[in-house]
Amino acid sequence: MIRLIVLICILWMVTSQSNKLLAQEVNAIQWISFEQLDDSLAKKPKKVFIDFYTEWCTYCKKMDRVVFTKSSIIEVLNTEYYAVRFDAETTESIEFGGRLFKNYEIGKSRTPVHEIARLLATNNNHFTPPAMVILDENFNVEQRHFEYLDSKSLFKILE
Amino acid sequence: MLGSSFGSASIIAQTSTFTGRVFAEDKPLAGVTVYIPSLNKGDVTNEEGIFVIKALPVGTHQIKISFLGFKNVFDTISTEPGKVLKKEYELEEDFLNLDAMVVSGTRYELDRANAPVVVNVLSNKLLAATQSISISEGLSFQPGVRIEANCQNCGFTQVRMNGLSGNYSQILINSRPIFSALNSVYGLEQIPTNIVEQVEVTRSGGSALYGSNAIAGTINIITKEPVTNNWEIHSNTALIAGKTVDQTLSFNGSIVDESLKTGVTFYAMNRDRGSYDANGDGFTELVQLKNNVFGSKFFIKPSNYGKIMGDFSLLKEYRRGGDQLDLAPHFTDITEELIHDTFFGSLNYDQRTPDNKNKISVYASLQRTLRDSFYGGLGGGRTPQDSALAINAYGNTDDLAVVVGVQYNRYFDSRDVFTFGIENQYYNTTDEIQGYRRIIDQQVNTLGLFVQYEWKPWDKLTTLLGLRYDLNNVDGDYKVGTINNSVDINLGVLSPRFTLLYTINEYLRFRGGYARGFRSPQAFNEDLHISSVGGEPLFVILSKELDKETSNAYTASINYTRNRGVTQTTFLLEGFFTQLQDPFSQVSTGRVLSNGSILEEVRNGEGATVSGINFELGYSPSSSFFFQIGGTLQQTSYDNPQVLFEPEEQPVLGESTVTVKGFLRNPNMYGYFATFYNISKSLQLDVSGTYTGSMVVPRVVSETGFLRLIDSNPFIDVNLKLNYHIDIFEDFSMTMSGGLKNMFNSFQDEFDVGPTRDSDFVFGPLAPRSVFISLKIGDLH
Repeated sequence: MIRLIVLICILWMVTSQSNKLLAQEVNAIQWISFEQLDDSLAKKPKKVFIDFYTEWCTYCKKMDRVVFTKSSIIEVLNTEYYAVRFDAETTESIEFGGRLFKNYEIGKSRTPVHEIARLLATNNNHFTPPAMVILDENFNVEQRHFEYLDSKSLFKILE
Repeated sequence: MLGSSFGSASIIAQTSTFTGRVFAEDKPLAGVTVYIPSLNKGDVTNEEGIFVIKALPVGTHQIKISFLGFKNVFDTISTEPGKVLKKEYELEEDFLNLDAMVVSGTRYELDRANAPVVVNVLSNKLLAATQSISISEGLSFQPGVRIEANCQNCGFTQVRMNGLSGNYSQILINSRPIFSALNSVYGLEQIPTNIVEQVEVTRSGGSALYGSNAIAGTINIITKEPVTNNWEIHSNTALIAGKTVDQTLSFNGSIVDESLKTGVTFYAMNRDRGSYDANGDGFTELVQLKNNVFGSKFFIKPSNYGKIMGDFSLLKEYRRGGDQLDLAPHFTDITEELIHDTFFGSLNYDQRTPDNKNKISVYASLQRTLRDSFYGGLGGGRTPQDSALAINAYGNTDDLAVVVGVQYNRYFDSRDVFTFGIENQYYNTTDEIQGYRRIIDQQVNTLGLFVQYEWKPWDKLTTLLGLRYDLNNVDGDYKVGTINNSVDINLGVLSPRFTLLYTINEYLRFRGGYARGFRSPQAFNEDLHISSVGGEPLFVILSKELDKETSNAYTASINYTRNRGVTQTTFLLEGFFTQLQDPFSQVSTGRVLSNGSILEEVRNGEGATVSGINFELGYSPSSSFFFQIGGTLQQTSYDNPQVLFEPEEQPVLGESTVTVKGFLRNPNMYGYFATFYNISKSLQLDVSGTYTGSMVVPRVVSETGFLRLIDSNPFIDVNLKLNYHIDIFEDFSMTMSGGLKNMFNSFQDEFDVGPTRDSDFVFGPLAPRSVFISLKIGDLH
């Protein structure tokens, strides 16, 4: 009985993983980094969508799994936007727009928020993931959203 | 023409004009908003960066200048009658646009620091660190809370808060008081931790929202609410004292749709624990348990502002203790065997107005328990009379609790909150053992009206004023043998509650409170449990003249919370003082029924006070290390010595009246500690423990119910757990753990023996040393 359960579990895991891999190859959001965004914006201005997440944020995970995998979202993000995904608690320094951005809160906070996230995605001085920011071609902030958005609401916003 | 220019001239005379230029890096800025919020007036700059706001009333005004891509500028201007004020503003470029419009706010935050009542949260994490299978094992890890074992025949446990016994606390499931008197006999051991999101412990009756008998406090068991799609399977095997196996298997799973409009979580648990005999006399110290639980919790959001929540749990538990567990109960010397079939269910509807200022909740909760019991046995005798009595010791219990209510909350702009509600609680218990001619048939109905106002007169002060009016009706018949008592009471009781929070500074908070409580005469948990002494059952019956009990509870506390860098420190010092008037007390009268049963009577006892301090210290230098210690120092005293044993007829030689000055089974010092240490990312060490100080324990030494008072030794119950976590795939992890519970085997060393033992003579830790291994797989995060 236990063997059977283990076998089923393993089979299930293998199939679900391979499905995911296949899905990614066929159709996925082309996420880029801030460094890549710098180059891309210089070459061809476009609207920008930035998704700030953290490792512990359950709703971020849910968005990854069920919202950013929807074909409507993938299509609109890939065609109309540069899509950036950024771990708001990353320890790495980021060069962007000719300036170096750092995480100054390391060692000061349990949830050290990176300077970029602080500048772009704070709400009354609080950073609460999931945080999504939409900017125009000139990199001016158009909208900020600090909550879980399902694919319908996100699609409306992105359109 | 003339008239109009005259008119405008007169306006100019009484008002003034504010004009100016806005620029950045020496260039004029067009499209900048210059705005006076208090007047709802403003202008937008033209191509030259010029703005003009006319017809301003004379005086000082706050102005706000904002432009997308630049930092906001705030200024205060003073205008004089008929004059034009001119100013220039330079805007600083806001590289990443800090001051843009925010679309929405936080939705998932819960702020505990600013609550006017101290709420301690027993998290999932602590329940896991202490390897608690049921709620009863985890609750001791809170200041002022202690779980005590009460019976080695049936495993009756109760929770003591601030020294007051179980029936002074209100146990809530998802905030509803459906945990009946019957449920509180074994219920804490029946509710598995895998269904629990967290347990919120509020000491002292600080809130008017929950019934008036919550004098010692409330314990609110919040079950898991679904957020993401996930699943987990958990197995735990423990070996108690090297010989008794305790095996648990449980699973949880949740499905939540993408729009977060519907979600459901399912859970199930099976536990199988053998019995344990500590002293080899053939009688159990730990009872045999077989427990099955399954349940679900779901939500549906029909609109953005409405939410329907429902949950249910089904418990089926078998427990048996005594001797010769393989025989039919009536062939044994002592057996307490209980089969519980319990259903808990609730439905809740919340509706908010779009401005989030009004919220109305309508709810209904139901609990039903059917219990088959056997409390009895041959008791060491083998006469036909013993046999006849034993075979008639089977009983049935039917218990129903229904709670329905409406609650309205109004959130004011001043951050004040007004709450109003009506709640009806109905409890119906029928407990019958024909052989002893014992019947408890009781209906309790309480219609409660409550108002509460959370008033914040200024920033630093929050007060919570509450008033509850209960219309209480008890209709009960209590019979044992030839004794037949009944209660029929209608009471209207007003219970005021008051608490305040004063924020001294960023780190320090002071809280104080007063609550009045009452309990109407009725059967509580002890009355639904039958102990065995001298081979005879011991019954508890309400006395004829039993009157209501009232109480006054005062509490004051200081709370220090500081985050310095990643270091977190918290300290809580809380004093409490509770006065009980006419408390319900069990008195042994030496009365024995014709069939040999011993009788204890519940009477209004001597007035009593319970006072003491609770403390809690938490320290965490980084997220990989956490240490917490808490405890209670307290004393209890009766205004006059309380009688425990008072022979009614001719006393047996040497059996005179027994009295006590303070509470029984209640140590003056007890506490706990818990430490989590992440040795590496995947390896974690948890050490936790409880301390139980010396206490006075009664031991019945004669068939008349005569008792001796014994001072127990202190106990230190330490648990050690090592946890290893691996992420196998992104959505699949495994956690293996193992360790020791009660590693120093700090356990009661002397029990009563044989068929005539006093089954209530148990105290200290719930179980001796055990080794456990556990495995958890699933989508754990």
